[in-house]
Amino acid sequence: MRVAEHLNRSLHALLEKDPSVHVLGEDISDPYGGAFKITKGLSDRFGPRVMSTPLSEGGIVGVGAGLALAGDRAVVEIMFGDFATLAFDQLVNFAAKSTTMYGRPVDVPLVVRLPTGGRRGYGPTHSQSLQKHFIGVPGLSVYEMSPFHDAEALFTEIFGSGRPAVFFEDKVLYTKPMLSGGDGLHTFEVRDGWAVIRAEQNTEDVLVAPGGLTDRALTALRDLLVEDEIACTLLVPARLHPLDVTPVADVLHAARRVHVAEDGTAGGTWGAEVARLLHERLWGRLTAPITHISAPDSIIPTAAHLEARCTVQAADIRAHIQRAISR
Amino acid sequence: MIGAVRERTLTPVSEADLSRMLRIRHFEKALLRLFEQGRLNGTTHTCLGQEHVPVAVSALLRPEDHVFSNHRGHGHFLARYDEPHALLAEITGREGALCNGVGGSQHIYHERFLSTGVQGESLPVAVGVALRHKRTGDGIACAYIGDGTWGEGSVYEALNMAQVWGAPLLVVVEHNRIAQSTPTAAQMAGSIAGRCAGFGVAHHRVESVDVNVVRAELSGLLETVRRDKRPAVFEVSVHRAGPHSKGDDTRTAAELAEAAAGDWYAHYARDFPAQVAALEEIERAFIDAAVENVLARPLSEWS
Amino acid sequence: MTEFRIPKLNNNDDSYILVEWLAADGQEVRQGEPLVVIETSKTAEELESPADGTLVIRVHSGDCAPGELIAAIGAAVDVVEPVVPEVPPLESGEIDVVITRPAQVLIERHGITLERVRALGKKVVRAEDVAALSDSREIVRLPKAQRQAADVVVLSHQTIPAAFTVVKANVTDMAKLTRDLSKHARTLIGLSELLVKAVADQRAEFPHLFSTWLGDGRIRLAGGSHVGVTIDVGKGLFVPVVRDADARPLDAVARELMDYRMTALRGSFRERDLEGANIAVTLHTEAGVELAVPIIHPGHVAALSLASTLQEVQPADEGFTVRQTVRIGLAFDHRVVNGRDAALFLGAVKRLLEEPRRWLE
Repeated sequence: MRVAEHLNRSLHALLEKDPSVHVLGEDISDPYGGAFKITKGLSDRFGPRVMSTPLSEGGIVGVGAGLALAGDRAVVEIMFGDFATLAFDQLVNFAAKSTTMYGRPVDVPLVVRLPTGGRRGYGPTHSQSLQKHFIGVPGLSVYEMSPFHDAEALFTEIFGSGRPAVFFEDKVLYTKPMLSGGDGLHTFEVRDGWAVIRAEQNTEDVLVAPGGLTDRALTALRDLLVEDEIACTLLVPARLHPLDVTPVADVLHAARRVHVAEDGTAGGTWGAEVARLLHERLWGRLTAPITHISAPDSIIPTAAHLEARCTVQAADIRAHIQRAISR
Repeated sequence: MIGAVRERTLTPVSEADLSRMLRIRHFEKALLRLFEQGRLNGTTHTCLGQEHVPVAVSALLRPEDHVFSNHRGHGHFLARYDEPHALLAEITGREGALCNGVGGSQHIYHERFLSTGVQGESLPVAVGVALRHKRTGDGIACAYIGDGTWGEGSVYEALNMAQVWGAPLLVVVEHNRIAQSTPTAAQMAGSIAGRCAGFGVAHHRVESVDVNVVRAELSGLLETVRRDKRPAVFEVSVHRAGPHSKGDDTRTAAELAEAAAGDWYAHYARDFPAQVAALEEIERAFIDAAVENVLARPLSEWS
Repeated sequence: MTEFRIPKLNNNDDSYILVEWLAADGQEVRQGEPLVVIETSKTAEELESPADGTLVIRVHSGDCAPGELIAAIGAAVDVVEPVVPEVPPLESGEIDVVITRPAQVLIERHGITLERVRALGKKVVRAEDVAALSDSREIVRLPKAQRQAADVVVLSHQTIPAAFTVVKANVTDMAKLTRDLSKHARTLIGLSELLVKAVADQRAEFPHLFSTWLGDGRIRLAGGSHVGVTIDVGKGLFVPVVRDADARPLDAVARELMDYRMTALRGSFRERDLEGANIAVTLHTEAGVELAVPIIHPGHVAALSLASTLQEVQPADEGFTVRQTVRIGLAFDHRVVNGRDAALFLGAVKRLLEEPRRWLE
């Protein structure tokens, strides 16, 4: 099953099982079913609980927060994650803050879905990966879709936490298959919110990457093993922040080198935060500083040859890891 | 412009309403006094001169309705919930505070009352809450904003969605002619009425500072919000008799005199001096006792 | 339901080997019953069942870590979901072995058949695997204990600037005394036992030799003489510790060393037998060994070696006499003590061995 279809089925299941769930977003109603078709069939089936909205990103996130505050549960789709900046106030100053600023826990079960990332030629304002801007916001969780994690379970987990979450979805990933079991070379194991992808136990190299990088990371892993004889384990967390590395402590403790890859642009990034956290935990075990792989400090151009230069490619991941090892 | 006060400009107010308006007024005055004495932390925005608006509105609300308030929200809260001790404890960070002292003056969440400190932010939220009311019963969302708030895009996003989706949302605009220090004329083109018309949202404006008149004029409009499940904007012309927050009033003497002359209190105290004098003593003493009581409490705790 | 997790057995390993289960999966077990054998880098320990109930094994054998859940013990009805590792699906036509590019180059160069590559039984075949196929010489992986020893000696060489001094002791008279002492104490008291005791007794005068280097020009002094003694009866090298050897009489020290030799024959040291030394005596008493240079264990300042007893002809008043000598070596951390201290220390030990009367006082 493709990731997009899985996501669509997850939303169907969510709406079916829980009558308090609402889905809002621009152009999400049938027959259009959303710009990426993730919401296809929802409005036909669940009527008024699925609402196509005006072009008001801030407004609809606020409406979602209002529904959540009043006892409902809301999923808000922002058509392109880039437009999350228009909802920054509602997310940071209202939804996230409200969970604690009234002196007692207040539940705001809200998921803001953000189709994200480049490699589709949509240009500078429709291709960004803005995860880093939402890291470390008190009360806000940051998730990223992966082909390993069950999206319905993640949405349910977010609603259960009472904290609002931004849910990043790599747009290229939509077209890729969901993954389980293994690929003949690597085994895929999912445990407590992490996917562990490896060809053998306890590798000296470990790569941590969000779900959106999965296809590129897997290609890099395969090339590293088959071409360079470097065995590397890939760790994919479903929740990027707050990051709990306890479930994969065994993998990390066996590592001698850790690499972190992400799609965001260089500077003040999620990967830097992961490196900080892991340096604290693994200092003394590692034989090299943590490698950081991100997009360059640049806007994302439209033309394919220029865009490729400004987005993380499988070859970049492989080259960075090779360099770290040969240092 | 309000000219010389004529005989009996205002109608007689019930003892309950007048008591509440005076209670709010003395609560605010007590806050300004505490600030001068250096006994309050941070900032506060008093609603002197505007007390009659929430008192007029609150009587028409039902327990299930949600109220969204803003930075100038003490009156909104006290008109709905007669809990001045708890509000003062919140503002001073004492035991018994509404939100354990975390939110302070402008971030209160109590039962069905919620305020935040960002202009216009609560309007889309109120639309969401109103949509739930629409689905589950006859409740409404009532949001207080000022004239300055109309500079925020979220107001228009919210009005548009409320009208498109038929959300039972009442927006009460306390038009006090000034946004912090900027006169409305210098920051708003056109009018609130004109903007509402653009969205097809019902709008009604009241010029009076008479609590009975304000309530009477709101009553019918609020019923249509509740019954017909649609938004409405109720604009009340008021005068901000006090500063924006504290000691930051840059208005000229003439402007201040004009604001003072537009204060409901000035009119009503002249029209009904005996009633005001009798109740004012009671409320002043009540608030003084509340201040003494709350400030003697231990500091609030937050876990 | 009781979780059965691996306890932390020592400070130096971050993984152990689960050797075998002593009870079968699904079997009823009693609290206190030996359940499983865990091998650390130094020894193998039996762990006991923490509860009564049905044993449900999670980890059957192989690597395991402190804190890892290896089994659950619960009521018979309490069925635990078995952990079944997901098997990667093999699509038809997909090769069952992944051959790396460097391995492929070697396969072609040496003309190795795919059958032989498959026979390696590896999922991923690397260049080193193919090289092994083209090279008939056997490659052996050392036992875990030896690998651990390798780490220790490397660390010692990398971190301790050691110097070495040796003395020769005339133990002719001592050889006679040990027979009497053994008879009297009803346990073997030989040169090794005397040396352990003699070394331990020097702590009051030479405290720095029993200390630990902390870096930054500081050492931590020891609270007792805990002497590690090498024992190798052919079942691997062990260094059990005679604790507080300065505070205990010679016969008690000797008896403990005898117990350790017996334990070494059975191969059942406990972790606590092997921890906490602050100086070491290494025995090289096999016939013909003249001199041995010991390794200083990381965390120690000194290590002594005892070589074998040698016959030496010596001119005497009327011709020659034969005397018996041994060489005692002292390797020491030169950051902490100097040659003079080493010589004085060895001199004191030597005197104790050369003048047996002292032992009878």
